[in-house]
Amino acid sequence: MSKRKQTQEYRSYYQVSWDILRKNRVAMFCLLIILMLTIIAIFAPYLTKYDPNATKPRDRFQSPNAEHPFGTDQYGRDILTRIFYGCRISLSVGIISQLIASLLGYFIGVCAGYFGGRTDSVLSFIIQVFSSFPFLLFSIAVMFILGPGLVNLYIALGLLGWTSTARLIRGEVLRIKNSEYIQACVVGGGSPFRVIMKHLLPNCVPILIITVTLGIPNAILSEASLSYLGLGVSPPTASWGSMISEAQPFIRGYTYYSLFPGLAIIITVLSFNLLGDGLRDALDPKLRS
Amino acid sequence: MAEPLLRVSNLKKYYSLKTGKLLGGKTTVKAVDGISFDLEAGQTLGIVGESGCGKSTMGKTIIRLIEPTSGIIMLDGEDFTALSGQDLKRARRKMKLIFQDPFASLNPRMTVKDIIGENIDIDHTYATKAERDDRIREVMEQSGLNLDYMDRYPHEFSGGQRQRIGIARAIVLPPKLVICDEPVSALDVSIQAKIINLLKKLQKDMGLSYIFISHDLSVVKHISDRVGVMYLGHMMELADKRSLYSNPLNPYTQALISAIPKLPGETTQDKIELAGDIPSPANPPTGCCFHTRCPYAKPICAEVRPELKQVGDDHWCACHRV
Amino acid sequence: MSDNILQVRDLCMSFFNKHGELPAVNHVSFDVERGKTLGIVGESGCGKSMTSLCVMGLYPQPQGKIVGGSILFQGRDMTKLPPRELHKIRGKGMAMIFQEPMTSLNPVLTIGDQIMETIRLHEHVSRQEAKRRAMEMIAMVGIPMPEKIFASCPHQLSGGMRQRAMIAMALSCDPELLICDEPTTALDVTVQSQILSLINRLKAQTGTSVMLITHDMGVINEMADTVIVMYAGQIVEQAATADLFAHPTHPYTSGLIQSIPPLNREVEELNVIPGSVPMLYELPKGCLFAPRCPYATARCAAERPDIVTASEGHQVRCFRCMPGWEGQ
Repeated sequence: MSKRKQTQEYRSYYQVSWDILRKNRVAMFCLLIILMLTIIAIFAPYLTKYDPNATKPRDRFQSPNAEHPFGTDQYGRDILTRIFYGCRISLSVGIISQLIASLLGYFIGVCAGYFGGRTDSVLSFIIQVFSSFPFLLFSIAVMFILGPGLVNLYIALGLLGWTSTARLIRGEVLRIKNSEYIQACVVGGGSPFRVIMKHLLPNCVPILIITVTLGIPNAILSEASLSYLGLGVSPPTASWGSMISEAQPFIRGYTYYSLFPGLAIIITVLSFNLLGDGLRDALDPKLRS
Repeated sequence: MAEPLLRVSNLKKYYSLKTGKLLGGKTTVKAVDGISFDLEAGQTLGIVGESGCGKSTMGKTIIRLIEPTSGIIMLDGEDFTALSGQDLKRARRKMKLIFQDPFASLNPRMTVKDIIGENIDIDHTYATKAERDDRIREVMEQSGLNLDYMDRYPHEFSGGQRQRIGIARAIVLPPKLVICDEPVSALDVSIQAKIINLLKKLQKDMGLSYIFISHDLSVVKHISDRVGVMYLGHMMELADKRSLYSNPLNPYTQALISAIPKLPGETTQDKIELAGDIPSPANPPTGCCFHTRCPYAKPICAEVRPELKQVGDDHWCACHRV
Repeated sequence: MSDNILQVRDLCMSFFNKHGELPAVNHVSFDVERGKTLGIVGESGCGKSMTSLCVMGLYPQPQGKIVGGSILFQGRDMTKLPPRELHKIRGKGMAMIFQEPMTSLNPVLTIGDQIMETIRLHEHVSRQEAKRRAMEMIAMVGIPMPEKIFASCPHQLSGGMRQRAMIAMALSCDPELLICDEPTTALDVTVQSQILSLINRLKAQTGTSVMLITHDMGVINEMADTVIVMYAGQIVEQAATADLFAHPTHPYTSGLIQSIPPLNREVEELNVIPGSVPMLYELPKGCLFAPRCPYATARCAAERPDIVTASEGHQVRCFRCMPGWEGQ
């Protein structure tokens, strides 16, 4: 057997996944959009000369022009600038709340699956209870208790998004917990903590990547809904949802105001969803073969 | 006579199984039902039996991967069944397991180096990473693995190579006893021969003892010193391999040996063809568990379970006929 | 000569993928005589299962393609028949049993329904007649309580019973050729011996020819009249069973036989064949076995040997059996 051939064949799981993903044009395009959005979110202050919150009553309700490509709102603030700053809110809410959710979901799912027995019964019951709350109503309640604000938004959405992750992780753990390599680790004296971190976590990472990617658009939509209802970020902070909310009275006379934040939401959510689909195709070993 | 390395007495593992009945019907599956044997240091005990006879459960119960229902396991003169916590961890260092399925037994997300080195990492045997990696290199060489493969992932290897990785993992902290659960059943004949030769070489070099569980009687004969035959959780016959294969006393052993498809020149008595299938372990026959298929069954066989009696020099058999 | 139920000549089947053309079955020729058993033996990936799937016309398509040769069954070339004709032959002319009966039985239909369906697919008989025949088949394969099994679903049966039901189904239309692909590999030894003697008994009763694919030399010795040894898609040796075991001539055959732990004597170390079976995309240029062969010469590495007759009815693909070897 030629050794050169073997070296050539040598590819880790994630390299192979990346190869599959790279061939998926739609997913790659979405990834590009998401990277752009991330850059916009990080460098928002450098991309525009306007202050998102400074009012300039003189410039109210300008239609898109060279000075203000997306126009201005009722206080004369540049809509493009506010969309850039809103991108910060949306992406950070999406990513941070989903990180909280998957962390919570992973540990609850792993504990339920790995320890089994009574632990599993109790945790599964909690999962059931949480997932039977109406999502929006519950987040409204949580936000109402915690009060509006960005950090509270992370917490509220993180607390709510973990159930599906936990359920998926629990299933995966049940599938692999009797694997012989885990038995070998236990026989070698490995503690449950070691099993959970060294053996179960790496095998659950693909699931976590997929659930985070597919959870982000949900969180972004929820943030928009909550901000629309006035329970999200507090004004004058720009968020896509609050912008649409503020634009509502003017929707007939001045459509641009609600059109651009709406488009931003659609593009972002669609990109994450399509990328998530692509990732699922690339990472799921069952779909792969 | 010196204490044997391992003495298993009256080992039992019962599972309770819910039957489909509405009002909490339960049956007990006696997967392992009163197994006793000794294993001397440096020796190999082969365990043969058909599917469902409890041989794998027994192997995993001895290492307490499955907790035994009752029975005593003396390892090196120490009651292994009574240990817990750090003591159990320390005693387990003497025992390792090699698995059947070379595909399921290696974590697909870990490199070969980390798979083999896991036991070192758990026990913090070596102070430095360099020492750890040196030891890993050493066992990889001992197991016939190319050192270039250290940073590869299991999916790039063939069944035989994977089984070598499993063996390297088992011996990286030298154990005294290795329980081999059908280690070559999933492999092709020519690869099987290589793995068996490797196991024999390691035994000679390291003074290992093996419990070699397999359904393949010719492989067991080749590698073992003594052989036990299991059927539905019971030990039917236990003997030195020469006397077991040349003079099988239990009708089940006789049938099992006669059923092996033979090569030319291998002694063929008349085939004993057993009627029927192996009964379900959830509903085993009364008395001698083999009487439903035994060509010599008498009324007593259906009532009284025969004990494992010594019938010759290191030859034990559970049958009313002897 | 006309007593060959199946004549395979120069059969070539290749897979086509990113590695290019991969010859999975490489110039394979053999005959199955009426009423006889032909054994095909080899390790995984040697092309033995693919050969049998080609004969049945069941090889994976479109990745796989028969690129040459002919399969003459009852005088008709299976490779040239349209799918409809092929379908008629399968089941009635030739039938197949697989290693894992669970995957080839429909889990939601009863055994009886499945056997009746096979019968009614190929013969125009009434339901009653089909049921009577199915019952007869179930009884013939030695299943106790045929009525109960008739009404059972596959998952309610043990492995041995499932394989019997599979055989009953395969034989229900009186096929001329029964192809058994590792029929006992998933079974326990005592059950394996029941199934093997059942196949032999039915063969004697019905006069069916059998093509038996297995990796177990012992099974070959007890079942087959003639044997084909395959390696990397090629036939490397072909002989009458007794002849093959008495005089294994190809180094691969003898290596394979010697790597089995013998039952009748003690050996310290098992013989091993160095190296491993080459992947189809990295086949050596010369003799396919040359890189692992203890006798390999420069000629073996450079050119591929043809299969030659070493003695009466014994063919070997090895330069050592050709005239002029001694001189090298």
